[in-house]
Amino acid sequence: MLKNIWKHRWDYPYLLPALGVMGLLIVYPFFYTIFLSFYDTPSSRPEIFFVGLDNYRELLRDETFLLVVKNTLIWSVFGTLCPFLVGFLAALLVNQKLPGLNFARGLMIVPYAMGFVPASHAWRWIFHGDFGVITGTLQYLGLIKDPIPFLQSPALIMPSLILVNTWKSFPFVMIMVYAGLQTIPESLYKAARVDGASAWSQFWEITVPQLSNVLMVTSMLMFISNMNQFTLIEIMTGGGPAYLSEIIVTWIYHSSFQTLRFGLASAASVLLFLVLIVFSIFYVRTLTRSAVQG
Amino acid sequence: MAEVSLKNIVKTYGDVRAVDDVSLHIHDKEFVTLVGPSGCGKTTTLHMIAGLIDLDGGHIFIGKRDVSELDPKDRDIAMVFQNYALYPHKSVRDNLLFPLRMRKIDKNTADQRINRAAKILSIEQLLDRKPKQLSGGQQQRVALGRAIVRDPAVFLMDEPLSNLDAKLRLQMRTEIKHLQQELQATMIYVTHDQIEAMTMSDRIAVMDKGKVQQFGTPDELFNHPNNVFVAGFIGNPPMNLIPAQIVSEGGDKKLRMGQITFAPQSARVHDLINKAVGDKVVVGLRNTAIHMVAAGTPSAINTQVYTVEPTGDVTYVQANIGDKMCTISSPDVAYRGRLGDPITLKLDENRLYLFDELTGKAIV
Repeated sequence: MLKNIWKHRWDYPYLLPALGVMGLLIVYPFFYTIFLSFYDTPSSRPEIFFVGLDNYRELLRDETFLLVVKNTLIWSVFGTLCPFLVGFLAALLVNQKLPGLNFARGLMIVPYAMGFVPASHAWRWIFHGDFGVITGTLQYLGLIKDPIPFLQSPALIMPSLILVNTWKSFPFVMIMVYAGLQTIPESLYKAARVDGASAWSQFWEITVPQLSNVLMVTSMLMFISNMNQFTLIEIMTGGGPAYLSEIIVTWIYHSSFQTLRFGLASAASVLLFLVLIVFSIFYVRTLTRSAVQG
Repeated sequence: MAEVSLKNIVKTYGDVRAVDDVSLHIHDKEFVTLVGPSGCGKTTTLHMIAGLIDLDGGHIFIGKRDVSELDPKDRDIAMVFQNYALYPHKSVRDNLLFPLRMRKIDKNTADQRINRAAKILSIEQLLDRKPKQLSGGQQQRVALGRAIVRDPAVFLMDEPLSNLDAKLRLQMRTEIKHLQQELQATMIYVTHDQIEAMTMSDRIAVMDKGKVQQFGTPDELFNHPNNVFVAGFIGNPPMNLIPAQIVSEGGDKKLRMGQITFAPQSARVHDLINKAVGDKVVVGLRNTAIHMVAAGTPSAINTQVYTVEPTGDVTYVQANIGDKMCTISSPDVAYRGRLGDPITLKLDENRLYLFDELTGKAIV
């Protein structure tokens, strides 16, 4: 080992630029955030003051933050579940050998290929209470009288955001599951048909168990990326009204760069990090396990 | 157990007739093999019997029932696949249990059947393992077990040995044949390996281009091939097939093979020649029907050694007869001729076959 390192000693300097960039953009902010989470950072003064665990205590007592946590959970769970179900069904559909499905497959990938920023802007207008195409169409058809304020109503705001996320992310699930379906040997289905399994049994006895790793990895990736979903929410609602659509990442952003409470925001970041690291460990474990099995 | 009848079954893919009007009657408790080269329609035929591929024409009977339109699960068949098709996420026991569970067979009966199958196949100690933890041969046994537990009317085997190494293949060949006799099962077996077909089957259907070329016992196929295809396919090494022309020299009919003109001595061959339509024929001779004889033997053919292939108990000599490379069994196992050594060959006229060159049909 040491001999090997010595043999390659002139290779290591080449790593320095990459390590430097990583250090600057990842390692330093990471530790600085942890450091800041133990400090008060008053916006009116240049100094910072050590406060121990006060920031964490404040967070766990703050009703707004608890609402934000609740929103984050609803958003992440349903924002994963809905695209997951739609994507799974879409994958089963495009896996059929029917005419025209190649075109449909291409078409269904469009939302995923579109950037989050333009998609979010477009949907903000689609949902708009006064000028939105949904309200407009329904009014034109005479189905409703008053406009529906999708992004203002406490009851509709989260479902609306989750709907957009479903539209945006189901192709990802579809691609992953479709790829997974391709790897299931056709002969297993033939064997199952001879063995007397109905289509329903084949799905539960072969398709689902054979896809279990793909389903696991996909849902975990989705969950992690939803927890970190800043763009869609910031553009569509900015977390409002009245924190109804605020999730942890948008709250961290608003607390640090709008109310300038860097210490408090850092504490929230550390908490979010701890939650995500647990999922990431599961994710990596599943991946390596499937790699070993595969 | 049951008999199986195929009546004029047809499968087309676009313009290709993959299975072209195939009719076979397979007796109860019979071991029948469908053999032929890749793309001959044997696997398609088997999958049609299983119900995995729909018929474009004809009927299939299992026992007295017309099963042509039935789902695989209603045909009372069990199938063993080339790649075993074991359910990877299920243990061996659950693999064996699956067909029983799908048929809602009660737990006690199922356990009994699984234990019996496991005992027959000596896989009792593997029941709690996953397929990935098994060797190829063990997986093959489990696949057989999954067929046995069903106690089906017919066993269908789709090249079950082709994924095994050569030594294991020989062993499993014996075991499957033994199993078929022990279970008194009707078995339809697909392979491209004619040795497998010859050694295991009661009867063999040789297929080519979607058609059954000949259906008969191994002896019939070997000794009385219907046509050039069967003659060239059955037997190892394959029959030597030498293109020839019938010529008349001095009122006597002879066979011209390349530069060699062969004058038959026997009434049998003259008779065959007289029955030929047209003058183009193919002479068929097994490697054992060409004898190496001493130089100067009358009405023998002189040629030269191309290669010598010792195999241990037989030594094959390759040499040209006419323009055709032929394989001959040397009478002396220790014979080690070199390239170009002169040899003299005598054709065994009692075992000479004649085929029509145009139709490929045997002249009898």
